[in-house]
Amino acid sequence: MAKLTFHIEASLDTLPKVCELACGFAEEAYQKVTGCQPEKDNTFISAVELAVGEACTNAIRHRQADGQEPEMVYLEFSLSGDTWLAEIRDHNQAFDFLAVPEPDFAALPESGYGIYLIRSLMDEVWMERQGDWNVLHLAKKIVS
Amino acid sequence: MNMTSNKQGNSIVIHLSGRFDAGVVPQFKSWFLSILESGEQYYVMNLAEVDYLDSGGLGCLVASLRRVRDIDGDIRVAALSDKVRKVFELTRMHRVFDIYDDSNAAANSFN
Repeated sequence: MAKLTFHIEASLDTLPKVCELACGFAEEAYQKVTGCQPEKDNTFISAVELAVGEACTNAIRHRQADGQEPEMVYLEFSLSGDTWLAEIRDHNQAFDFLAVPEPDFAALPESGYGIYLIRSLMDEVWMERQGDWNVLHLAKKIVS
Repeated sequence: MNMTSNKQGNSIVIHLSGRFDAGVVPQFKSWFLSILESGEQYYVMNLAEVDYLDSGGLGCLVASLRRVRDIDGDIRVAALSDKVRKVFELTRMHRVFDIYDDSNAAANSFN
């Protein structure tokens, strides 16, 4: 199955398109691995859609917080055996993804759920710095 | 995202449809603030037509709830799809908001 690579302008307006592309690739991967069409609101597809959306939102927001002009966020989706993989690259300042704590649920915060959701939805999440790039990796095994 | 509201009994029922994501947060916040100016205390968020909820949308609901609680009111949510319910459960919001199967049941709960 071919990889899907594309880039988007770092603007929240692009989120629907990103999610559409993520769902399209995830559906194809699901079909390839399971031999079945995913049903509506399939758990795997919904998890991919939300995790990719949250990852892009995070990259876009950090860009905007830097006060710089919108740039690009680069995405790559692939399938390795029965595992769906994504790479989300941004050119923002280095960001220690793993250092972000869980939300303080008892305090009912108005923000800070995004990274927690990504971690909850994916099997593996890791971030690395490649030169000037933050590269966020997501992985989720496909099971029927 | 489309947003409409109507008065039903003691509450204002807010009907949302489409994607409730980080991109629509400013639009929702400003619209909800204008509704809050009516002074009503009780609200139902009918999410039957919301097909995507992310942490931005969720944060909006939490912010709205906090504002409404400041005036001794409440927000109850209704008609969550399995997909949206999953986001509520992962973030433990199902313990924060009272959730109803449909907007009529939620609105009636305020009577």
